[in-house]
Amino acid sequence: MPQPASVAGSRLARRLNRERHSSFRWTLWTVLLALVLGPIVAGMVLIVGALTIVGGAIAMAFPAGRRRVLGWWHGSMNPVHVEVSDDPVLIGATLKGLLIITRPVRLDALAISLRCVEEVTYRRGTNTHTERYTAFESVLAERGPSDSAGEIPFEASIPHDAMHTFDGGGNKLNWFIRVTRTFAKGGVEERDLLLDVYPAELHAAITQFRAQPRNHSRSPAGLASVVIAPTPVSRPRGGQ
Amino acid sequence: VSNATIALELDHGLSDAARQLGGKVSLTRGQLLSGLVRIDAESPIKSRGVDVILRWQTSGKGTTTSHDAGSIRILQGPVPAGRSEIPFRLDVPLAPLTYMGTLLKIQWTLRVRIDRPWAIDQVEDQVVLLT
Repeated sequence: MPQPASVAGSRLARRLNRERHSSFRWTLWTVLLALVLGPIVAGMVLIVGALTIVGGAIAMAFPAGRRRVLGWWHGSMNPVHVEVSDDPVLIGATLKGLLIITRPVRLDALAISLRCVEEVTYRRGTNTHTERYTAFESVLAERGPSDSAGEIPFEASIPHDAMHTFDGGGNKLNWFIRVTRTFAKGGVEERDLLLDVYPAELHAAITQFRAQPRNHSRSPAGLASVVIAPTPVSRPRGGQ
Repeated sequence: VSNATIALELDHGLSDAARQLGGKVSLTRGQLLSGLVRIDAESPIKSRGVDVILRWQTSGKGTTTSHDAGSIRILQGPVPAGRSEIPFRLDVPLAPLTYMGTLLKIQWTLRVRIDRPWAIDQVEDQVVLLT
């Protein structure tokens, strides 16, 4: 089971993130990059930056590309946060969420949805391909034109027959809260924030395992085969 | 290399760990699964032992992955000639659940393996569901 991507929230228990990374690996890579690969990375950043500008300019020539580039730009300038009452959330459970809009920006439309996406990676020749399929989607909240900052509450229910989050190398099944913003100045941004879904029995076993003293030698039945994330699961703190 | 006939019988009566579901055996997460492995060998089989393994495997469009989630050695050493009936007990894992998606499938198998030195192992697989 993958490690939850979220961090402690300010209004609800957990603030969702777009990507997950191990803190140890992140630190190791940062140190390595800083000490050994610094000059190379700086050069690559310049090249990638230049390519991004060129790519962005080319994309702007096409309507769909222009929408994406403008959406990315406006989205970066006007970030939003999503906080939820639980992460991981259990199959069949309902969670409360809050979309926090930090800066007022004029929107034509805003939608919050819950999505479950299958993602597979495979090699064909020397190329690596990734394909995605949306196995489940449910719209949680929608808004028309608006221009105010603030908070939008929503609720999400994980279906009883849903599949949990799964990460098996080239095969993944991820749950997301997607925030789609259509900006009045042009552009659409789709922001996917990772949400982890666990089976209830597994979550209970992990909680029990973490509560045990460190020198306990045997994990609960059935847990031996499951890779347990090193960081604690969500712990409600303040907020609602 | 002599072969044996392997039969796997799951205990439906003693616990709730295994039950029939649409023609397949469905395992209950976190339960203790019990059963019997029956091996019929015409002559003794040189082996390191016999294992019962619960494993999941992904299939579909992506690169396949498999993992032995639980295993137990039920017989140490060579398999004797004649019929051997060996009971076993194994913890049923909690995840991942059986999943039949569009791009991705996760399937569980209960495998009996005769672990042969310097030869291809003989295996008998039974597809099971983890629900």
